[in-house]
This record gives sequence, C-alpha cells and structure tokens, in this order.
Amino acid sequence: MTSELDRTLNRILEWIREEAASPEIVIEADTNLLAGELLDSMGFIQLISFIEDEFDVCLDSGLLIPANFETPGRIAGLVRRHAAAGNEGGVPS
Amino acid sequence: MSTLELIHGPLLLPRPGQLDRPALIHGSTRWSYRNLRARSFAIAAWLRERGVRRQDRVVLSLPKRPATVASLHALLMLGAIAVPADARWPARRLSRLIADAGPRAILTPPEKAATAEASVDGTAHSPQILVFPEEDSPGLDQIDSHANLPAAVEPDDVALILYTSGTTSAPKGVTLTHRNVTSFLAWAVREFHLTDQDRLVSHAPFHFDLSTLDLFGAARAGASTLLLDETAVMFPAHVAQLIADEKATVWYSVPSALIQLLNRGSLRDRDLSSLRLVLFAGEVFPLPPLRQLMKALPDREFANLYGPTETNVCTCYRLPGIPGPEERDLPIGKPCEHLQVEVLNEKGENVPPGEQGEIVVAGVAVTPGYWGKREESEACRSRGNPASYRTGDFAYLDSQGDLRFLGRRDEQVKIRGHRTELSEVDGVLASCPGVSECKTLVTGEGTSKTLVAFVVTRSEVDTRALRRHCLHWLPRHAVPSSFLQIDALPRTGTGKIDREALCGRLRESTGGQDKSDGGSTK
Repeated sequence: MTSELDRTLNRILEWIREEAASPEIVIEADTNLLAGELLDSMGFIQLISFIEDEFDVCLDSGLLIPANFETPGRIAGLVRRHAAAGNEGGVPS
Repeated sequence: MSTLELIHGPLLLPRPGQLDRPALIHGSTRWSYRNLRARSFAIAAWLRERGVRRQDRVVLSLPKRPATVASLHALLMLGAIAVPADARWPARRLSRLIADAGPRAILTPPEKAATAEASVDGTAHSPQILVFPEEDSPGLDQIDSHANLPAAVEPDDVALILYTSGTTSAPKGVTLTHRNVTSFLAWAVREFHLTDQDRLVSHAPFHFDLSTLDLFGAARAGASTLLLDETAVMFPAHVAQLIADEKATVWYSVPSALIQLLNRGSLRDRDLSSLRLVLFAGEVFPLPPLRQLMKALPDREFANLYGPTETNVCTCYRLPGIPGPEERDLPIGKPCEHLQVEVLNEKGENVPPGEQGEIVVAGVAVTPGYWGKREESEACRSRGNPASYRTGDFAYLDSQGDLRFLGRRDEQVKIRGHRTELSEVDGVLASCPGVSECKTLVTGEGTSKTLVAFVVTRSEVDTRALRRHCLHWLPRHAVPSSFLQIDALPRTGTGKIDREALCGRLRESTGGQDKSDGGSTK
C-alpha cells in the first residue's frame, strides 16, 4: 500500500512540476499548493481531470475542498483512499 | 464636477448611513465602509509619504484581499494610476508590464518581494519596491483624515491601466479614466437596480475589467462585495457554499466560472435563494450548460454582457427565459445607453440588419488609448473619432434588433475568458533557443479550449523545455497545452502560413476529434 501511495505521489508531483508550477518553484510532497498560489483555477481543474483519468477515480464535489488539496502529499492520500473505496465498489460519484 | 464622476467618489462622499454598512467580506474579515474609508485614507497617506503623486503609475502585485481594495481606492484618491497585476504571473511577465508602465512603485506583500525585485532587474525604470504592511501592523490605523489628499483629481485623469495580451510578445495596457469607469458603473447600477441591500460576488481578478463592477459598482450602490480570493475560486463547491452562507445576491463572471460552479458546485445541495442576478461576459456561453444552469437556478435574472476592456460593457442582453432547443447562440443584445454601438463595413458605413460588419463603439466609456502606444491607439479609432473604438469583433443585427456576435478575423482568442493574442504566444515561443518557426492554434470549444503550438526547431528541443520557456514568460492560460514538432510550417501560395493545413495536421494527430479554428471565434 505504501509503495502504491509513493507511486501516486510521484505521478502527482511529476504532473504539477510539469504542467502547473512555474519552473523556478520547487515542488515537494509537503509544498503548500494553496498558500503560495501555485495553481490557478484552470490548473486546478486540469489537476482534477488528470487525477480522475490517471487513477480512475471519481472525486465527488464534496471532496473538492481546500483541506484535501493543500499539498501533493494530501492529494495522494485522497486519491489512494478513493481508489481503495472504488475497488470495493464504494466510489462516491 | 460631481464626486460620482470619480471612481472612489462614494468613499469621499458616502450616502447617508453607508459608513456603517458592510463594504467587504473576505473569510472571517468584514470591513464596514467606515473601515474601508479609514484604511484607504491611511494607505493614501502612507503612499504619499513614499513619494507617490498624481498620475504616477503604481503596480499592485497583491493578493485579493480587503487591504488591496483599500490600496486601489488610496491610489485613486491620490490621483495616481493603479496598475493591478496578478500575483501569480511569472517574474518575466511582470517585468514586461513594468517596462511598459514605467511605474513609480510596486506594491507587494513581504513574501513576494523577491519576485518583485527580480521583475525590476534589468528594466530601464527603477521603481521602488514597497513592501505592503501587514494587515495589523501599526501605522495604518492611526491616520483618518483626507486633509493631505490633493484636491485636484479630475474625471478625465487616467485611473487604471488594465494589462491585456498584446499582438507582439509584450502585454499592452488599456488606460481607463475615472469617467470611463464611472459612466459604466452609473449604467450598471441603474440597469440592474443595485442597492445597499445587494451583495456582489467578486470572482474576477482585479486586473480584469469585470472587477470594476464588483468593487466600485458595489461602493456606488452602497452594496457589499464578497471577495473570492485566488484559492477560493479554485473550489466551486466552496464558492457555492460561500454564496449561500453570505447570502450573495449578484454574481458576475466569465461563463467558464459558472460552468465550473454548475459541474462541481453541488448547487442542488445549497440554499442559493439569495442570488437574484447572474451576469456573465468575456466569452461565448455555450447554450447546453447555460440551459442547465438556468434550470438549476430558476427564476433568477440572467444577462449576457459584451464589451472589450477598451470600452467595458457596451451591449447587454437580458435573457427572457431559458433558450429554447431551436436557439443556436445567444444574442449580445442592445447597446448600453451611455454608448453608441454600430456595425460598420470596411468603408465605415452602417450595414443593414442581417449583414455582418465590425462592432464599433463610441462614447464616454471608450479608453483614451493604450499606455505609451499612440499609434496602436489611433489605429483602433473609427473615422478619426478619438472617443471611438473598433473592436475587431464581427456581428450582425438580428430581426429583433439584437446584435449577434460572429467572431474575429484576427489572432485574438479567448481562453476561459482570458483575452489572448496568438501572436504573443508565437512571439514568446520563437524566442526559445532552438526554435526557428512556430504557429499557435486554438483547439476545442467552450471551457475545454486550449492552445496547440506547432514548432519547427533547428535542433532537438525537448517539449518540456518549450513548456518551461512559456511558463517563464506567459500567464498560465496562454501556455500551449501541447507542442507538436514538425519539419516545416505549411504555407499557402502567397507564402502565408497555411492554417487550414495545420488544422488538418491537428485533426490527424487527434484522430479527427478536433475542432480547431486558429482564432476565428471569441
């Protein structure tokens, strides 16, 4: 499970570094994505689409709150919780 | 001169009872008009002490906060020119704005001071970097007098410069006078019956012209403004909850933001009964999501506003109901009373109804021009009238007397409401080491519109390097989502870049799924 979490985190970090963040900004698992205004609303919507496609999860609107997206680590945790729920047939939609 | 011809007029001469009414709401912060006024005076005095004078430009590289609104009012009180910037713009983008505007100062929060310093590096001007005091720092609260303010702010003084994408690789600044803005505000307050009972949602960033209604229109009506900051706007469900909790009455944004609210806002689960008016502008609202939104928010008034930054809103269409299945697009409506709006042919003559022509706007809200760009400003005038603006947008008058927007014939496109010149993107890409030629096209429709860049390189260039280069220089919406490297750009017989052929290449690469237009729609 831990390695799955690591893989998820790495893919998310890769995406943010590549697609969203300005090149001069260092992004790590605990970088606050919201305080530094790294993402804008368009980047955020793209991030959600990326997560849903890449990890085959469906993130319910109720999950799209600042607390769940503060850091790449938190996002990875959210994805794993919901991917696991999905395997048991309990994905919120 | 009437005080109401000045944007900050309502703070100088508040309505009876206005000072005790709420002005700004942001998170748990609530400022009354008394508070906003005191803060604005204090910041004006602070800026004056630091040498800011009438018609000096001051860049606000500040987040969306009540104190930023007070800073805008403070600059206007001093007769200075406010240049709002996006706190998320890359340093190089900011530096080009600074090089163009030649500001006396840049206002920045402490954590952004290094970015501001980097932006100033190498520019011919050397503006002061003014690190904005923390909200609760001593000093600002102690001054509550406008005795030090210059009396001579005139309605025709430039008040704001709003930067938009330029046709070269540099952004261009649309100057707006106090009178330009207040003529629009007077129209909007009257047209939509804004009162001190209203609470306007401020969704747009302050460098967007939409924000003038949210901030200054609210002050004029004695209404309050619910500020959605850069983080809040990323979370549609959170925004919907804020509308419910704060009992917002008026929403004004680009359609993309409303579509996000519809798709991700869980509107059904919120009590949005306070909302009475939904205004949208900045891009075409595709009808299917608009119909869904109007069903989700029944019995509200909806209006489609049209107008470039150079004129602000110049036509308005109030929807009589949910557009029927036979409707294919939404009219942009009839001219606003404070402006003349005509549809002209290439000779500058009015075209008959049904025939297409260019939208030309004349009147009191039309910009005096682009900052420091006399030739470009004059090139946009119609028949030499200095108070006119040729929009570059094409339209026709329908049988109901409403204008119908058709598109553009140049390279200006809208990406989620952000005006973007494809040639600016091309200019930035062409400056990337290794790139010999490039051409950017728009692909997709509505909120899924993105840019695709065709790039010819002299040597092997990593796509990541192209993206990084763009991220250094361009705001995010203008960074192409994909880069296709090709051997040569296809050309027509006359040597022009063959857009049709490029669109064909794009369709091939997306398996025929693509609808690119190279910039013909707004």
